[in-house]
Amino acid sequence: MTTPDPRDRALDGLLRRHLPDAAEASDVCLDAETLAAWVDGGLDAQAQTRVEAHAAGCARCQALMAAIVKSEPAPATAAEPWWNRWSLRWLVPLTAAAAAATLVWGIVPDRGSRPSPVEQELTQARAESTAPAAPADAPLAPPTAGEDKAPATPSTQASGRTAPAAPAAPSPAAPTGTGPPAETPAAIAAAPATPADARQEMAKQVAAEAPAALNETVGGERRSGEAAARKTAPAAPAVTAPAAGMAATARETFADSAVAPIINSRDPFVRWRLAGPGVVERSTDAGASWSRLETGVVAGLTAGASPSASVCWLAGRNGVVLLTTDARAWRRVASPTTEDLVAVDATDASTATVRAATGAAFRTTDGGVTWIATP
Amino acid sequence: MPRVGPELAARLHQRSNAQQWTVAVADFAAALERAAAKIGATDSDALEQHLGSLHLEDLALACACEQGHEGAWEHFVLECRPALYRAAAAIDPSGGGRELADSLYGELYGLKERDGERQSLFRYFHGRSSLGTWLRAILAQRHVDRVRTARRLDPLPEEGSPDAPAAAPAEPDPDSRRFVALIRAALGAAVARLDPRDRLRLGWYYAQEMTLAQIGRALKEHEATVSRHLSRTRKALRGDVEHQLREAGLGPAAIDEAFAAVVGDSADVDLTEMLGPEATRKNRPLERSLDEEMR
Repeated sequence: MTTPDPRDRALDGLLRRHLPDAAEASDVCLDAETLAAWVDGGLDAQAQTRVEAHAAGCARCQALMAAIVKSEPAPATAAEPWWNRWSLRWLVPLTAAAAAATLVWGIVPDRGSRPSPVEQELTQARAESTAPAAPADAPLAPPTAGEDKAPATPSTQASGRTAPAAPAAPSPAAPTGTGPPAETPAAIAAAPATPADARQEMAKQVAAEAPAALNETVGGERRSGEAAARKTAPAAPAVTAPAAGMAATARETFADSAVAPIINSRDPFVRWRLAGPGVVERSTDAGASWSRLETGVVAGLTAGASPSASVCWLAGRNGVVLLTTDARAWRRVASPTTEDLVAVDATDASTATVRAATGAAFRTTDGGVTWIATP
Repeated sequence: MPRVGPELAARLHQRSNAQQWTVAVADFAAALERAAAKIGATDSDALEQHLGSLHLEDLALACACEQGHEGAWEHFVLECRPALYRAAAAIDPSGGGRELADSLYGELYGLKERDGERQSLFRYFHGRSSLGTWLRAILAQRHVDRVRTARRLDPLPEEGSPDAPAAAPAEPDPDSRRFVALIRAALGAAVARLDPRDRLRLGWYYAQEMTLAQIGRALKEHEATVSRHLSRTRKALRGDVEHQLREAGLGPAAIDEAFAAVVGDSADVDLTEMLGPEATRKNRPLERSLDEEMR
C-alpha cells in the first residue's frame, strides 16, 4: 500500500529517517522502577503525566519503554474452538446451503418420491444444526454467523454468559495477517475507501470506546482486539459493563465452555486455567506448559483473577471462593453468598470483589474474612 | 521521622504474607518507608491508600530475597527465572539478553558490597509494579544503555571501505537545499508544538518501530485509537508545515517543489532531536536513575 499524496509521502519519509539516539544525560531520565510502575499502572495521574511528558522528549526513555512493551508476551488466547478453525469454516455455508436445499426440496410438491426415514432424520438434524438463537444457558453449540449481529439478551447480560459467536467472514479488503489494517504509516494516511473498510473502521471505533472489554472472554472464547473489531455489533461492552470499575487487570469468566479460559496473572508469564471441577492448571512459561493443581474442593469453578504470580482467586458455583497465595495450597474462604458466582476481580491477596449471577457484588479487603455488598 | 506508622506497617505486613518468608515487621516497614519516599505523598490518608495499592506480596518477596531467605530465593528462581529469560530473549533476540539476565542475578543476590554490606538490587523494588515488570524494566534499561554505549563507541568507517559514505554527489540545486532546510525547520517547529502524548506515539511509531498494538498496550489505548491519533497528528504536522511554508512566502507550486525536494534529499533527519532536547531540559530533574542509586 502506498501513500497517495506526495506531500504525505515526503512527510512520512522525513519522520522515518532519523539518526540513532542522541546522547542524553542519564541523570535526568526515568529509572527502571518508575518505568515499571508506569507500565503496570502504578502511578497516579500526575506522575503518569510527568513520565509521559519526559518520555515524549527523551529518546532513551522512549527506547526503554519500547523494549519493556516489546518484551511483554502477547495476551493469552484460549484455544480456538474446533468449529472456528479455518479448515472447517467452509462447513458453515455448506451446511446452511444443504439445509436450505433440503427445505426447498421438502416444500416443492410432486417431487416424485418421499425421503427415507434416514433422510428425514438427516434433514431434521441439519435444520436443527443451523437453527439460530440457542437459549443462553444451553450447552455451547457451533454457532451460526447470524448470532454475530444479535445483541446480547438481558438474560445473558445478567448471568455474564453468551453463546460464542462465529467471527464474521472477513471482507475481501480486510487483511488476512495478524497485523492491523493500518499498520504502516501509509496505511494510516489512507482513509477507508470501500464500504467494507468503512464498516470495519466503524466497528473499530465502537470497539475503541471500551478497549478493556475487547479482551474479555465471551462465552469462553477470548477475542483479540482485532477479532472483536471485525464484528459488526460488539456484545462485550454490555456483558462487561458492570465490571468496568473494577481494578484488576486479570479477569475471566467461565461459562461451562468446553474450552478452559486463561486467567492472566499480572506477571506476563504466569497463567492459570480452570481445568474442571475443583481443578486448576498453572503455567509459568506463558502457556507453553501447564502443571495441575488440586484445590481440594469439588465445585464447578467459573471465574478467576490473579493479581500476582502466586496469588489467585477463584469463584464458582454455590458461592465457592478459593484463594492461593503461594500457588500451591488453596484455601476456601468464607463466602458472602450461596448464589453461583460468575466473576471475580482482585488487586492482591486481601482485596477482591466477587459477582454473583444475580448481579450482586461483594468486596473483601481482608482476604475473605469479611465481605461488604457493593453496588 | 517515619511516615509509615507501626499499625499500618503491621497491617500491610499481614496482608503481604511476609511472615511466610519470615520477614520481620520492622524490615517490611523499612521497605514501605522507601516506597513512601518514592511515592512522595504527604497526606496520611493518601499515603495509606498508595501503600495499600502496592504489590505487597512481591514487595515481601523482594524483602526476603534481599535478606537472603533461602525459601524466598527458591520461590523467586522458580517463578521468575523462566519469565526473565523469555523477556531477555525478546529484548535482545541475538542472545545478548541472556547474558544480561544472568548478570542481573548476581546483582539481585547482592554480589556488590558497600560499607561492608551486601547491596542487593531488590532494595530498589518498591512494589509500584509487579516484580516481573520491574525485572523486565531493568533488563530493558541495561540493554538500551548497552546499545547506546556501543553506538557511541563504534568507530567511523575508514575512507574507501564499503561502509564509508559515498562521495558527495554533485552540488545540488541551491533552491532544493533551501527548500529542504525550510521544510526541516518547519517540521521541527511543528513537532515541538505537539502534545506530549502525540510526540510519544510519533516517536514510538517512527523511531522505535513499535506496532500500533504495542503502542496501544503501552498507552492503554485500542490500536484503532492509536491509528486515528497518529493519522490526526500527521495531518496536523502537515498543515503546520504547509502554513509555515506559506508564511515564508512560498506559493502552492513552490510548496510542492519543497516537498519533492525532501523526497529526493538523502540527508538524515534527527527525529530524536525534533522530539527532544527541549522537553528533556524542561522536565529536569525528574527521577534519578537506578544505576545512580546503586553507585
